[in-house]
Amino acid sequence: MNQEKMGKFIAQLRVEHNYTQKEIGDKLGISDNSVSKWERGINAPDIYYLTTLAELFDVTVKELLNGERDFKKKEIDENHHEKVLEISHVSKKFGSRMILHDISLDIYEGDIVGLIGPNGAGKTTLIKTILNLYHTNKGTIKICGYDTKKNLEQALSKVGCIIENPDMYQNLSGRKNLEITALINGIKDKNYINQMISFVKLDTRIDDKVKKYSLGMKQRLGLANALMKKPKLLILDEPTNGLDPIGIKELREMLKQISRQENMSILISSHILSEIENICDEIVIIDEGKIISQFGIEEIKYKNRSLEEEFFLKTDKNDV
Amino acid sequence: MKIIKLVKSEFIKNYTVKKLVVIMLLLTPFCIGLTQLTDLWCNNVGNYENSHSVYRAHYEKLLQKENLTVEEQYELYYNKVNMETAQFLKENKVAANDWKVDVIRELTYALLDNYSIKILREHKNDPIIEAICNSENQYYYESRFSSAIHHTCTAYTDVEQDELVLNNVKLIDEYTYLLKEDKYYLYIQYLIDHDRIWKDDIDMAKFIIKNKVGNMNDYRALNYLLWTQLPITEIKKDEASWMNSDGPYKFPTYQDYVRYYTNVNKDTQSSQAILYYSSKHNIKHDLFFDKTTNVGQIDQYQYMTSKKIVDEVFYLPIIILIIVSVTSSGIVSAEHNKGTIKNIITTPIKRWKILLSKFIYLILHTYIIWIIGLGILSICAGVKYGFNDLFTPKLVYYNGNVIEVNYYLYLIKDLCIAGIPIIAFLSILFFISTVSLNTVLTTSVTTILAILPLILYYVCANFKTTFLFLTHLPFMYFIPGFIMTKQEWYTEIIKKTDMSLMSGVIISIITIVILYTITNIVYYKRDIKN
Repeated sequence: MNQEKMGKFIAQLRVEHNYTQKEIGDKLGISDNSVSKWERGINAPDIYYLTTLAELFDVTVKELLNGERDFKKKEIDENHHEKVLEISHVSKKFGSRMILHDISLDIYEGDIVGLIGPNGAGKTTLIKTILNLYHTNKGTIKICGYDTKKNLEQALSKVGCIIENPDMYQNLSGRKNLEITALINGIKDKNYINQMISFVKLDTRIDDKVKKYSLGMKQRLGLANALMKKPKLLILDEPTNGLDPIGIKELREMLKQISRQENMSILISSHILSEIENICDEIVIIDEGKIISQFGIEEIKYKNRSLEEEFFLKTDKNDV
Repeated sequence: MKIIKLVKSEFIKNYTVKKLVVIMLLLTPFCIGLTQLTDLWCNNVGNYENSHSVYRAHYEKLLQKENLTVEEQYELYYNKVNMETAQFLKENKVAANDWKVDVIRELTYALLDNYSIKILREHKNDPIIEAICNSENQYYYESRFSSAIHHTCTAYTDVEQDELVLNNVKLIDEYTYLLKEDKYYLYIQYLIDHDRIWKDDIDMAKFIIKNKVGNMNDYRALNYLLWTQLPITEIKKDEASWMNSDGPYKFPTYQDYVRYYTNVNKDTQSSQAILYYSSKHNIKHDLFFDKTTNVGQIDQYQYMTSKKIVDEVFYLPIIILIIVSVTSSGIVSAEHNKGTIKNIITTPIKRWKILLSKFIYLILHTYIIWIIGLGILSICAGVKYGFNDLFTPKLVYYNGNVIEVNYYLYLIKDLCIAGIPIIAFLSILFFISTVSLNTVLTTSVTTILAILPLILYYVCANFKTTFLFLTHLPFMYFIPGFIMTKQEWYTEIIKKTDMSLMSGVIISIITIVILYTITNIVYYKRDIKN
C-alpha cells in the first residue's frame, strides 16, 4: 500500500464528487484536519473509514488502497455488473442432519474467491450443490443468471470444475479423455484441444494412458478438462491436494493467467491457507454449514494479519 | 443430438480392439460347439462303436484259441463278419436309417447262410451236427450256431442248399457292387428289379431314379418323402378324442389338449405347405422336425443345411448375456465408483439423457456381439455345409402362402423382435447397476439371471402344470431360441402354454417400461456422492 498515492487518490475523488474536506470530515465524524493528513499521505484511514469512503465515492476498498481505479471492472460493472454465481438462501440436509444453513453468496465476473473452513464445514457439499451433484432442500442457485433447477443445461454450460481428485478414464490417454469432453460439450475445433494441452504443458505425455500420469499431471489434465467448454466460472475443490510445491506454483500461475486473460471467475476451496492467500481476491469462511465471514484479501493485508490468523479468529479455533 | 454424442462417448470409453478380440474368442468356441450339437441333433449317424468293439473282442479271443470246435469256428466267422461290417458302417459314418444298413444286414445274412452250409457239408458226420439236424424241435434255440445249423438243414434240401449258395454268391456280388458304387438310385433300381418295392413307394422310387439321387439324405429325396409322410388331416380336438387319445394323464384338462393340438396342427399346416413348395421348386427348406411330430420317426429323414446352423443364432444369448453381464455391469456403477460420473453429471446435460444414452449403448453393445456371433456362426455353417445355402431364399408361410424372402434380412427382422426380451434382461442389469451402484452385485445377479432360463425350462418340461405360471415371467424369454427353433423339451412347454415370441415381447415391454421408469426416478432424486 502506497500511502501517498492513496492520499492523492482520495483527494481526487473528493474533488470529483464536489466535497470539501470539512464535509468529508462531518460525514465520517472526524475533523477536516484528519482528512487533510490522509490526502497528504501522512496518515492512512483505517478499515472503517476506508469502507465508508469507498461507499461514498463509489469505488472499492481495493481501489482506494491501490490509489487508482480498476477501470476494466468498473466498465463491466457499469454496463453489466455480471454475477456469475448467485446463491440465495440455500439449505441442504442429509437425512435429519442439516449440512448447509441458509447460505447466500454472490460471485462476480473475474473474481477469484477462496472458500475455506474446517473439516466438515460444508465446503465440498456447497460446491457439489452448485454443480447439481446434490439437490438443494431450499433456496436457489443461479449461474450466469440461469437457475440450476429451471435451466440446468444453460447453467452448467457456464461452469467448469475439478472436484477433489480429477477422476479421468484411466485406460484412455489424456487426449482421448479431452476428446470425450469435447464431444459431449459440442466442441468441434481440434486445435482448441491442442491449445488446452499446451496451456497445461502436457504436450509430451498427452498420448500416454492416464494411469501412468503423476498426480500433478492428472491435476493439469483435470484443469484442461474443466476449461474445455470455456466456462465463465471455474470451481476447484482442493485442487492442490497431493501436489508438491512446484505443482502448486504451476497451478497458481495457470489460474492467475486464466482469470486475467479470460476474465474468468474462480471459486477455490482449499485447506492450504497460504495458497488461498496468494491466489484469491475474496475469502469466504464457512463453518458448520454457515458463512461466518466474507472479506477482500486486501482487508487482512491492511490489518497486517495473515489469512491463517484471520481464519482462527473468525472460527474461534485458535489452537496455535 | 446430445444423446447421440453421449452414446458415441460410451463407445469411445468402452470399446477397444482388445475387448473385441476377447469377445470373438469367447464366441467362437461356443459357435463351433453349437454347430456340432445341431449337427448331432439333426443328423442321425448310427453308433457302431459298441457293437464293433464287442464283436472284435470275441473275435480276437477266439483267434487266440487253438483246436476250435465246430461251433467255435462258426462263432469266429460270425464275429469276424459282424466286426467288419460294423467297421465299414463306422468308417463311412452311415446313418442309422441309411439304405446301406439294410444292404449290410442282408449281406451278413447271405455270408452266414453260406458258411452254415459249408459247415454242414464239411462236418456232415459230426455227431453234434447230426444231433442238431435230427432234433424234432422246430425252433432249435440252444445257441446261435445250433439255430443256424438246424434252420439250414431243416429248411432246405441238399439241392435247395446248392441253389441258396449260388443265389447268395450272386447277392453278395450285387450288394458289394452297390456298396462300392454307393449310389442310392442304383439301390432303388435294384429293389424295383427284384420286385422289392412297396406299392406306395413306387412314385418316390421313380423320382429317385429319374433324378439320379445318389444320397438317401439328398434334399430332393427327403423333400418328397417328408411331404408324403406328413399327415394331411388335422388332429381332432373334441372331448371324445381327448378321452381316447393320451387322455387326462398327459393333458389334465380338455383345454390343455385343445391348446396342444391347435399348435401341432398349425405347425403341420405351415410345414406341409413349405415342403410342397420346396419339392415342387426343387429347393431346400430349413424346417426342423422333432420327435413329437406325429409321423413315425420323421426326424430321421431331415437333412442339414447351413441355414439350420445359422438359425441357432437365437441360442447365442446363452453366452451373450453372460458376456454382457461381465463386461457391462458397471455401466453406471463403475462410473460412480471410479468418480468419473462427476465429469458427466456436471456437463450441461440432464440426467435422464445421460441414463438414456447409457441404456442405448448397452443395447447396441449387445446387438453388436450378437451380429458378430451371427457372422462366426455363418462361417462355421458355411465351412461345414457350404456357403451357397446361406444365399438362397428362406421359405416362409404367410397368410396361407409360401413366399421366398432374403434369408439374412429375415434373420435381422427376427433378431430385432427376439431382442426385445434381451432388452428386458438389459433393463434389469441397468436397474441394479444404477440403483445399487455395486458392480459386483450387478454382475452376480445378472449372471444368475442369464443361466436361469435353462433351469426354468428344465423344470417346466419335466414337471406338469404346477410350475407353468413361470411362463408369464420375462426370464423364460431371454433365450429366444427356445421358442423360435423347435427342440423336443421346449416344444412341449410351448404347446401346453401358448407361449410365443409375441407373448414374450409383451411381457418384456412391460418389464422394460416399469424398470426403466423406476431407474430414472431413483437416479434423478439421488445425490451423487462419488
